[in-house]
Amino acid sequence: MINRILLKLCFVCGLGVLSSSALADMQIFACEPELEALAKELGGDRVSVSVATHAKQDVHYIQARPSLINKVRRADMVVCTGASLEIGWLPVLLKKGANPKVQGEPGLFMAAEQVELIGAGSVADRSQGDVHPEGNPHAFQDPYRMLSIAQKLADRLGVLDSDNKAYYLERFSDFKGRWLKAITNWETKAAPLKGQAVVVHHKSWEYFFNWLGIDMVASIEPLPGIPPTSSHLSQLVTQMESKPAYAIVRAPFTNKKGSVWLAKRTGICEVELAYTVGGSQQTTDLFTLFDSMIDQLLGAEQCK
Amino acid sequence: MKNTVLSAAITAACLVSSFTYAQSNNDTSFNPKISVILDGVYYSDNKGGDGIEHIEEMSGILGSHGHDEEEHGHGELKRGFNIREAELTMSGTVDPHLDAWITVAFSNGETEIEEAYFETRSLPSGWKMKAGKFFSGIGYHNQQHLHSWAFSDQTLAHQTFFGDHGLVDSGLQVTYLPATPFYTLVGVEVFQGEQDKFGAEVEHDELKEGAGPRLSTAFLKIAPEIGTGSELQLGLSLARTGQHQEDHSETPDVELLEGDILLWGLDVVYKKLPTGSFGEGSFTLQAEYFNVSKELTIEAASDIDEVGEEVTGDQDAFYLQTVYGIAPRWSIGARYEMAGMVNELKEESTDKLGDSRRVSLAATWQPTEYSKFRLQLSRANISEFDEDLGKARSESFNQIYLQYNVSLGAHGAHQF
Repeated sequence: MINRILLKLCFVCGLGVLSSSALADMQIFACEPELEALAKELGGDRVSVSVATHAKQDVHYIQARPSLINKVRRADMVVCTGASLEIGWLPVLLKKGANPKVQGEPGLFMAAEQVELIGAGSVADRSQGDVHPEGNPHAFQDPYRMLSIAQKLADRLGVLDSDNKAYYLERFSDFKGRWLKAITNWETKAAPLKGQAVVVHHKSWEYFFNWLGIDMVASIEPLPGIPPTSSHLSQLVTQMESKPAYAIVRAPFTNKKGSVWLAKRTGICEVELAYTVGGSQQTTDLFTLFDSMIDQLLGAEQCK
Repeated sequence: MKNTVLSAAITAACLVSSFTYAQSNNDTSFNPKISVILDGVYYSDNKGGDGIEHIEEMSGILGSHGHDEEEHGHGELKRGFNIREAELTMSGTVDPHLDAWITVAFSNGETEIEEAYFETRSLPSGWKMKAGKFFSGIGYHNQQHLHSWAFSDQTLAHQTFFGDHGLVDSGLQVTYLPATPFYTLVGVEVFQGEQDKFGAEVEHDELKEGAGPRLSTAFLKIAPEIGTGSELQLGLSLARTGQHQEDHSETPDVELLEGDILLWGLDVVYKKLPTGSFGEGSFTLQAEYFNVSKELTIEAASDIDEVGEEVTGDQDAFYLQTVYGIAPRWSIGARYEMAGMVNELKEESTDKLGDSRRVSLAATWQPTEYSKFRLQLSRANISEFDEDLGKARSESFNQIYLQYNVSLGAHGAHQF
């Protein structure tokens, strides 16, 4: 009797597993919100995406916690930045996730490896702070590089899920059309910002400002990843007195004390830019992310 | 001489590591990832430096009785400055199927392989196998290396059941991570069983040499999804050895025992993820409980009547600790520990071995990910069993640790 019940149970379970795997979308595990947004843009209703971090977290300092290991275990594809951004936790997730599908290409997609990085190949040692010898990993902040990443990601989706290859490529070409149009709008809108000088908290903005022709004249951190010291801040005050910057910029996950202090001392406007999807209320996808960051920067004028 | 060897090894490792670093820092490199971690403490107590010894002699059912046992490890602290260990770790991917990891610890002129294992990376369906020498997966704290502990010293619970290093041994581990809606990990291990405490081996002509593997464990961990801001992990552990040996000989009398020990344990870890930068606002609450019972038989004795008699014992221990990220790069922690709420040995009569407790407070400053500095204050009441009086007495003392921990080379893993 018990045997028969067990047998039935097994049958039902087995059926459940079979049918769910047949119907399931492609499961994508994304490390950062911007890559989650991109995977959704390109994958549409053929993928379901989970994300490891949110806009208020510094993605460098994430723990390889069990819930994330479980998500990697169940993923068909892992989409992360690479270039050592997730060095502390992604290798652990991939190791403990016990999922051979995503331990290397094609199941593992590293966005920063798809484009040329600023500062790649430079000599680096730890006395220079938290620098990445592979280059600055925050490449998605340049919309052109973002487009290259999108193309590679669409191709990869097609490789992994060949039944839907045409679907992904079509989604990409639709995205490309809208994105290029948006870039034109952004560049027109941001034209007044060209040549302006900004102080940043951390170097994560390099790509964004390079694209818009904005000058990063100083950073609140004396070295990347090293918190501001009072001597460094007072040096910045002197620098700002002789040559005032247009704005002081930081991301939602950074400590605002240094920037706020400098803004108060110098009367320069301090702006929290969204940085990634979810970084401000308006930023719900990649388009609104760049919309809002440019609006926020233009708004810094009113502070004067 | 040993110092020269040590410094040469470290220098070599640094050279190799800086070389790999300059070449490439990603996992596609053929060289193993190399790191060297240096841990040292300034230690003092108000027992003339004997605090550590009292803790090592803390009464418990797996303690040695009536004979000297040579022990080594992190415990040999002197008052003043101590380098506890320099830990050299190399890890990497062997081939498409295997990863490997080697940690060598240099301490007090001794070199010891702390961990050396390989594990699978290509088994399907969430299976993994690990073989070599490694920290057992039982509980939560046991798997952590000294340098990632939230406090400067080993917990009383691990100390009393496994000794300074925790349960680390040569063996085989199999784990299964099913694709369930929340994290579920099941593991079993078989170890050789070369331990100082749980699963000790005695070399004596009158005891047959144990055949390994002599120690086995099983564990289950689950982490229900409780949102993106925090994490909860619950664990259940079992460990057993059927060939635990003890030497209770007191010259000229011989008394040798062998038998079973069974351990079960519960662990819970709750972490609130930081909301500020560099760990500010993070909160960890972690607790573990272990219960051990032993059933030994006297296998050989000078008094022939004693042979075949049973010696049984029961003991438990727990710790509860919490760490809070009070400011960027600063955290404070508190730990309460107790060993031996139940602590008794039954031979002809029952010996109550008494309970030991300790309260510790720690403040840790971590200027970067590669260095940390800690001040820890502890108040300990340690129970020791006096064989002559036949009862337990308690030693109370204060301890202070000033610890530094610096790492070179490969970026450390942010383990949960």
